[in-house]
Amino acid sequence: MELSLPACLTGTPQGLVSLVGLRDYPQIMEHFRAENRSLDRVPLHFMPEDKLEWPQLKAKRSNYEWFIPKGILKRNWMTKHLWQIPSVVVIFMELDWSGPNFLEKKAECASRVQSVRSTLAGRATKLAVVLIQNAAANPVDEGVATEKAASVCSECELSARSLFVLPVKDDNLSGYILRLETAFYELSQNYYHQEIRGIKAHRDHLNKTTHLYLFVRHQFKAGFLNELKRDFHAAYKHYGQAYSLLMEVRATDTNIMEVKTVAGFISYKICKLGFRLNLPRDAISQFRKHMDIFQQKVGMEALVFEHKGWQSKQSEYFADVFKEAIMNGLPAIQTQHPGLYYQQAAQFAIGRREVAEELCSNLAAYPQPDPLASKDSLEFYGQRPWRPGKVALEAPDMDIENTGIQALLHHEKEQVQHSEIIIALLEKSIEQFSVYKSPRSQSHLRVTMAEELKSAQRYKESLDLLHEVMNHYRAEGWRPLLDAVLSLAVKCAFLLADVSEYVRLSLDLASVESAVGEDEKARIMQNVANILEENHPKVPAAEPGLTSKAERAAVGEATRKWAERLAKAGELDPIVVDLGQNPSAIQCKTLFVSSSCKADERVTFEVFVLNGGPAPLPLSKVDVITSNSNYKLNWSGFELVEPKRTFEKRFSFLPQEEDVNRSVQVKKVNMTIGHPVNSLQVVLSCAKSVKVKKENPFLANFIIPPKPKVVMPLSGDEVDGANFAIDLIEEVSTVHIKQRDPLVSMKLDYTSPVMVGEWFQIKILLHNHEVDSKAQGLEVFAALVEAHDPLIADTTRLTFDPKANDQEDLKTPSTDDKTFQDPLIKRLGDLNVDGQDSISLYVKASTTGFRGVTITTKYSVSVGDPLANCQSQISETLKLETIEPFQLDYSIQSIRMNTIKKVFTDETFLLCPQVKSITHHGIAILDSNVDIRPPMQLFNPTPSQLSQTNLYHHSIGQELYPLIVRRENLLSGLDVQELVVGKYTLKWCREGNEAQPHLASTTSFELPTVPVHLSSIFVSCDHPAFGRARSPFTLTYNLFNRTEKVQEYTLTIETSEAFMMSGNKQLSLKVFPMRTHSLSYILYPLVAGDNVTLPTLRLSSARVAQVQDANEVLDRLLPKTIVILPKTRVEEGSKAVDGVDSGEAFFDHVDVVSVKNGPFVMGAKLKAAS
Amino acid sequence: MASCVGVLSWSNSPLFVRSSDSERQLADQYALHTSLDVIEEKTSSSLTLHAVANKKVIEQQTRELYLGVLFATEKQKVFGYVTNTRIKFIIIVDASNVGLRDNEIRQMFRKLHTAYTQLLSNPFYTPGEPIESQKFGQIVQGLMART
Repeated sequence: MELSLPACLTGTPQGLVSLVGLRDYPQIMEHFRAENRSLDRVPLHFMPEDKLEWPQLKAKRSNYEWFIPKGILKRNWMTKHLWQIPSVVVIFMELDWSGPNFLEKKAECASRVQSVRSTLAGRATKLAVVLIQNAAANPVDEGVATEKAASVCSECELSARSLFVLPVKDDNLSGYILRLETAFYELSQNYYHQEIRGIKAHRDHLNKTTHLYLFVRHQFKAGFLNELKRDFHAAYKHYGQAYSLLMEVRATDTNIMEVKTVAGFISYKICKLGFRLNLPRDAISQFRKHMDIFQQKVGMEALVFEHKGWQSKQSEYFADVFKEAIMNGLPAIQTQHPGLYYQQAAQFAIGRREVAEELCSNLAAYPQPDPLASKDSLEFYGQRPWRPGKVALEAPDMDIENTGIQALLHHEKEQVQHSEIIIALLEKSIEQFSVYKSPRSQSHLRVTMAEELKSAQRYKESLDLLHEVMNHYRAEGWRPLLDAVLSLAVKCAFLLADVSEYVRLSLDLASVESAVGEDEKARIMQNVANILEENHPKVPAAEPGLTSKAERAAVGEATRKWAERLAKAGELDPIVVDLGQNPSAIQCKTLFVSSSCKADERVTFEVFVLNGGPAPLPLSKVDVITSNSNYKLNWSGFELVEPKRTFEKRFSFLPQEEDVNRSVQVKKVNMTIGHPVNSLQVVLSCAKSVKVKKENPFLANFIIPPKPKVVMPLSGDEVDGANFAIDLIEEVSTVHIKQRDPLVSMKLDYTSPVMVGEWFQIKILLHNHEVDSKAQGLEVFAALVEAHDPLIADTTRLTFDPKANDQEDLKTPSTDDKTFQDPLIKRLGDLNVDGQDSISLYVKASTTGFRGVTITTKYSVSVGDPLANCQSQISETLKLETIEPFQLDYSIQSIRMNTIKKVFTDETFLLCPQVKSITHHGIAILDSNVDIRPPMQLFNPTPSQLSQTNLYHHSIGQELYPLIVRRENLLSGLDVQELVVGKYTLKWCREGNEAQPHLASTTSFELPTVPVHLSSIFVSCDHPAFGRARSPFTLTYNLFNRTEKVQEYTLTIETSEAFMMSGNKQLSLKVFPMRTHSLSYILYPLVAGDNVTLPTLRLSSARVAQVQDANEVLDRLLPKTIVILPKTRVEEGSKAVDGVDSGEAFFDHVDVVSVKNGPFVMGAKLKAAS
Repeated sequence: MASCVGVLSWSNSPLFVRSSDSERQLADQYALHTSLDVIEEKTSSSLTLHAVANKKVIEQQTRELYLGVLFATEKQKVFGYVTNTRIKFIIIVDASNVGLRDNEIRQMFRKLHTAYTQLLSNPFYTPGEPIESQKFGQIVQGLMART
């Protein structure tokens, strides 16, 4: 029985060319050797041939009438045509055109050709002669050469096209050889073409009833020869015809094997050519059709495995061809790739093994004589060795048939390594599936492979393979598949006698989540209980389903190993079983009573262990491993946990200082089960961690109710509430350790808002209310919130001590990282019970807006039993608003106190800053001054008029500073220029803080620019401070020419009704440069009053611009009114009051107005400018 | 008509599996599971998740829900259907059932989808949990029984 395809079929056929006479020319032969020929050379196979021996040509049959073919394909035919019968025989001869004995050589050549021709004896093989020319590039006359060549041709009876010349000495030898090859290729194709025609010629003599085999054979031959001819389309067509003709053959038990074998050959060729001709769909559908047709054609019942094997091989070969096509550039997809066919092949192979096991179970002795002895010398493919050449219709001899079948069964049983075949196929398949991104299909194949490995008794490999698959199925929640895999794995672990794996897998399989039946779970757990039996642990019962003969043997072996291992149970170290996070029949849950805990309290948590098995569980130790290894949490003792009951243990511990503000997590629970003496001890290691659940974005719109709990059905009436509860327990495996509650109180005392520029004081009052202990190492931390924001950080300063710190040295602390990396720290030392302390924190902000300040007080106390240091902290964050304390307004006034827009050189004017308090808190102005920028200057040193003044909400403080710009100080001679006045500085503090000079703040304001004009004329007016009704006084106007030119004016006086006056009413005058012109008038006041209008002086000039200037000056500088006191006293009184007295009285009156602390402060110290 | 009907959740875990032949149940489960490979391949290009403002927003290109034959073996054909919320319906049909037209398969999926929608409307059913609804079971039974 042969299922594999012969090598002559699977290779790509190439035309055969024999080379004669090259023995003396190895250098030429080298060029023709297959290993030296690259793929782009013509597809021919060259063979050196010196013996001139070829297979004899069989006598052609002229009449097929009585001929009955004995089989379909002869075994030797393909080999013959591939390797033995050349399509072209090339005779190499040494012959120079100009050689000395040309004629002699020519005769030799002719005889050589003749002998070859006679050996070929009637075959159509082409002949060619190559004349090797040693004379290097001899410039012989063309005509002579042609003539001589023709003579050689006629001598040898060759056509001129079959004669070639090869100059050996030429450098370009390989080029000549390439051209020779092409010529040979053409000859070779001609030969095969002729052969095909010869085969086709037979057809006329044949009829389908008796010669159907020959029809198939001829079509196959035509296909094969076409392949040799490199005509793949024709080959494809012929193979296709061969296949359909073969389908007409009536397949019986006798010839079914032959038909299937040949069909396999032809189908293989069709598929291969299909892929080659870029017809992958046709190739695939041909294969499908092929498999479908033969699926039911099983053949003999006793040899079903043969059929399965054949199917498996067919699939495998197809997959190989497919894979080859892909390597040559065919694109494949996930649903159509070679892996699928390898998988199919593996499935057939599995089927083959199953059938074979059944059929080969009871075999008689190997029959003698060996019916298979001649299996390698059969004439036809696919025939039975014990009846070669029998035609289908003849009834077989049953006895011989049976011995043959017996021999085949023996062969199947002893020679075929089923598992190896299957595993190899599965490996190939898995490889392909991984290429086409099919992880799940791979998993399935792995399971199949693991099963196969198990039956090949390679349990360890099987188990390793299953581990990967288990994780995959578990991750995707395919519990039924997981259970199937687990039970396979348990079998492997049992057969390996691997206690740890066995226990682990059993517990997983028997867990609540598992979908296997309750009886099955009980059986599994009973096995686990057996291992843990006291004193003499029992070997677990074999897993069900291990029934085949080989498996029974393996079970026996495993049982022995188990017994051996368990006998030494008492001496062994406990066996560690890592359960990981997988569900298990012995469940362990941990529960922190509360999910957070204060640092000075004991953390309590409970461990629940549920015995899910049917037997009591001997529990001897529970060891809890937390994220901080310093906690030693374990219990040891001995307790038999009854079936379906829970063991509970409560642990408690005091958190350590390093865990404050962190979480303590249960990492692992190790449960030691088993009796303490003389028994097997098993440590179940159960990992705990927070499971991250995948979130389903599609469920975002649903309100999901809490998951109903899976509750393990517990047995009967004994159940009490507590035992039911384990499934309802929501595990809490982490606890957050918090600070202990502080008993020191912190009170912050401050008056917001903060004013820009001030040292804002926050008073921190600490009071120790701790009962038992003094507060040790009291520390106050202050930090700015959002200190990473430069807008805040660069404009804010914090300090505990504004006196000592230079402003630049202040750090800008932050609360960014919660560790308080660079906070301000003030250490206060200890605070006794009921003690108090206070400290001030100062904040300074240079811009408005909100500032956050976090103030934290930390201290430690000794509490508990035993005394332990315990950190406490209080923290408070303030949000402080910062506002501007005042608004500054200013004006420029003339000495007559009229607001002016521009000033003139050498004319005094008044700077009038006005401060408005806009905060609700009182502000004490400590000092104020102006810093005048040259060329402006203070007219005379003026002390601050606001110092020692307190401003309240919306109150305004105003001062006056007389300023002057001297013309000689001006650098440029421009008529108008903008000049900066300077800076106005206030030194101030909050009302109430005047006694603390270090808290004083300084605020500066930039004063505006003022346009300064050059003045041309200056006017002053001398008059007494006041007049008295009906008492004359003198009024003198002084006109001063500040220019270099003489100024001419016409002066007029507009009289006032309040005065009688004497003096020039109209006058033309000349004011000389830098000279003063004075005009005196005597005025006699008629009425009294505080604003009595004076006569108005007017100047007019021929020059219009000058007039306007001069009149502006007059308006600005000359008084418009004067105070005239009534004459009452003189009339009434006995005593005459002189002007000075009255003047004082007048100013006293003014003084009353300037009451301090009032909303208005009058600049009472103002002096007349001139 | 169908030899097995499976409903799989968005995370590919089985919500509902029923086989007409209880002996084939495991093999059917393997078939359902491996067919997920093909479903993933077919749907991976059409569905993208974007995180916008901490909220997952699903951008869905219009895609035919019915995926057609996922794979076919000698014994059976596996058809797939994926809803917009990535619930997968898979129907396995015996290969011997040659008379079955594509349209009939589509109709079966539509029925299944409707049944699932009705199930989802039931306030006592939690999405993502295994389906235990009798009504749903009956409809599936109907799909498998119909000739």
